Amino acid sequence: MAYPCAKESALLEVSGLYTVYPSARGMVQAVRNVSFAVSRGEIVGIVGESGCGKSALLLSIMGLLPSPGRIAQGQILFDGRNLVDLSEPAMRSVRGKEIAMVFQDPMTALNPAHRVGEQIAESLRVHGGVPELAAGDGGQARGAGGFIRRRLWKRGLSAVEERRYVIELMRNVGIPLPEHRHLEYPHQFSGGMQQRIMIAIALACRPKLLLADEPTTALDVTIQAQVLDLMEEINRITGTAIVLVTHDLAVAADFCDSIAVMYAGQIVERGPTDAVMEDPAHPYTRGLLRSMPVLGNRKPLQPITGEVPDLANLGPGCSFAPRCDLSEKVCLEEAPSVSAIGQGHEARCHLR
Amino acid sequence: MIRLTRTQVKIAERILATIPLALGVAIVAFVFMRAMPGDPVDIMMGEGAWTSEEEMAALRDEMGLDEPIHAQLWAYLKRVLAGDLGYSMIRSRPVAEIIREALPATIELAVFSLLFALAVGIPVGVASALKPNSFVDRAGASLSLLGVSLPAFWLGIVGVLIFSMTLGWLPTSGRIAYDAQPAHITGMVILDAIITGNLPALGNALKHICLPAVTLGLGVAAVVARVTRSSMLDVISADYIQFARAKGVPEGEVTRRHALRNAMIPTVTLVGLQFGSLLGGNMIVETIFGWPGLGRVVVDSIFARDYPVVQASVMVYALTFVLINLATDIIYTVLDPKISL
Ligand SMILES: Nc1ncnc2c1ncn2[C@@H]1O[C@H](COP(=O)(O)OP(=O)(O)OP(=O)(O)O)[C@@H](O)[C@H]1O
Ligand code: SF4
Ligand SMILES: [Mg+2]
Repeated sequence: MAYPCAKESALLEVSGLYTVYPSARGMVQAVRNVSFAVSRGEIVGIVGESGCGKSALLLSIMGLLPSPGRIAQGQILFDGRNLVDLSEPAMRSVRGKEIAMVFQDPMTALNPAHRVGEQIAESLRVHGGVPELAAGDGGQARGAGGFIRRRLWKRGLSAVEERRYVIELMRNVGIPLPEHRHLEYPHQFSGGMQQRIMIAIALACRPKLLLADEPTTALDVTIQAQVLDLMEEINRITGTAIVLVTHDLAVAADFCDSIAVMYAGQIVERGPTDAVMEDPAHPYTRGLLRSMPVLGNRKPLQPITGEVPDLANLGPGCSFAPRCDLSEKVCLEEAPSVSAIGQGHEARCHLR
Repeated sequence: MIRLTRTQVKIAERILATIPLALGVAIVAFVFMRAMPGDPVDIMMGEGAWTSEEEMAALRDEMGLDEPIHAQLWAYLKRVLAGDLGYSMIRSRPVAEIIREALPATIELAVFSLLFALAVGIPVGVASALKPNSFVDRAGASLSLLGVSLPAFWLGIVGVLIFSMTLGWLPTSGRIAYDAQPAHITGMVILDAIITGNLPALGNALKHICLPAVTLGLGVAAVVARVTRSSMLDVISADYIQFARAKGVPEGEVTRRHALRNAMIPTVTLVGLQFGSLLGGNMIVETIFGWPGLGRVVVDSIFARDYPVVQASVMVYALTFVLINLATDIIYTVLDPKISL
């Protein structure tokens, strides 16, 4: 697979990934031949409608596919290692430490029986401490005291330091009165605050990559914007790369450096956000754009008609063909391959 | 002025609320006992006995049985409210003393049955849920079915036949050998043996309690295993379990710290209910194993129409049910922070 503008140091490089769920209906091909890359510090959006395999893709990267799901083929290079080949213990030390994940519904993703401070601290504990600079005292950490403290972190934090760090994290994600609220339970927080706590948990070990699976879908619109702003700020300040999964192209357009559009398990178009938004090459992307409300535009929205194909029962041609208004004979017979549109911009369509 | 937290006030309220309940239960027990044919004097003297009518009347007069029923009830309630449980009509001892002697044996047996049930039921339930349809799961399901369907008296007798009579490993009945008794502190011999560090007594008592505790606890173990399995199955597919894995938490800890605690909530309800019935429903097992507990006292007293003992025992049962309920609710608040008393 060609990368027109292969970034020198991609942090994550997924290539030719196939993920399947064996099921009674047949083999569900949740992810089909997906390739994309995330550079350090970049924000990549993955957009697509429900059931197109977005979560399956993220879970494949995390090595957390629920059984019987499995990766059938492909490579996931992260920081020079192929995650597909890692042993479970090795993968576990990547999870939460180098790659963290934020789930869609904070209400169900936080453990109702543990205090939130405890849940944040747990991330630190399983990975045996905190990166030095993270305590927010990069300056003080030097000198003798700093040396001792760094030694402590190597073996895990003292209770006091741990609490201080947890409170600091909670403050950083915008939770008021963290010195009291770290003792509260998830149900005592609003949905937006719960999502901030989940982000704090994800950030606890200063991961290089944050996977966010529809982090704002369960939230009110105003809260959605706040949470997205928070993630953007984190990205700017800490340089954590983010993969944002969403079904909302507008959110991705606002927030991401580059966008990948997924349809029926495949990436049908990807490229820098501006290129994809201004010159959408795939009929599906154009359909998404037409169905997107634009402020001040009174033209009626045009939803994409038709149904998503059954991923257990895919035909030979382009999987978008039944819904595509440009579909031709070749589209039904032959699966389209990827063609380059512009700098780092490519689409999977016969007409390009 | 002592300051109480809201929870403490609630707990105090619930304990005080048991007083009217106990009185109500006492009335019911009183009425039911009187509704049974025959009175203590009849039973004591036996049918067609030599005792003359006059002597029997004198005895009834002495026991207050010739008063009208409502007067007897009134007198009884007044005494109970004053904290006096009365005198056994048959054993010529204060009822309180009889109960104080028998209750620790019953509690001890119930606690050990429950410990056995939890020690077997929870691991089997968890293992079944972690690997549905595995060997452990299937074996657990079959054994559970057996556990709930085999009657305790049958199990008890078979247990005695195998382990006591044939193999000779365990004693057939009783609570502890007469010459092995530890110093009396709580009345629970195992606890007393531990407190006094009396190892021979401890060993002897443990040998005695094995069979009765297993007999009584097997059914509970079966139910605990089923309930734990199903709640564990619910919990392990929850998002927060997947999220814990995404944090890098090792699988064993995911099960213990994240899943088990949430899965225990239904199990705790069940255990609360079952513990009440272990305390109150062990007459058969106590009888089979000659266990000197409250169950046996009650059975004997019912046959002898020993009214005060039965009434007081029933009150004790009711109170333990209420207290266990309270304990269950308190454990809830610990397991599930969303619940408060
Ligand atoms: N455990 C499973 N067994 C069988 N099929 C599954 C399983 N989980 C997901 N799938 C199928 O895999 C496909 C991709 O699912 P996935 O959850 O990745 O979609 P998604 O893009 O995240 O959707 P959403 O926006 O609704 O979260 C779907 O067709 C779904 O039916
Ligand atoms: S390949 Fe054909 S059917 Fe598929 S999107 Fe392109 S034009 Fe439409
Ligand atoms: Mg999803």
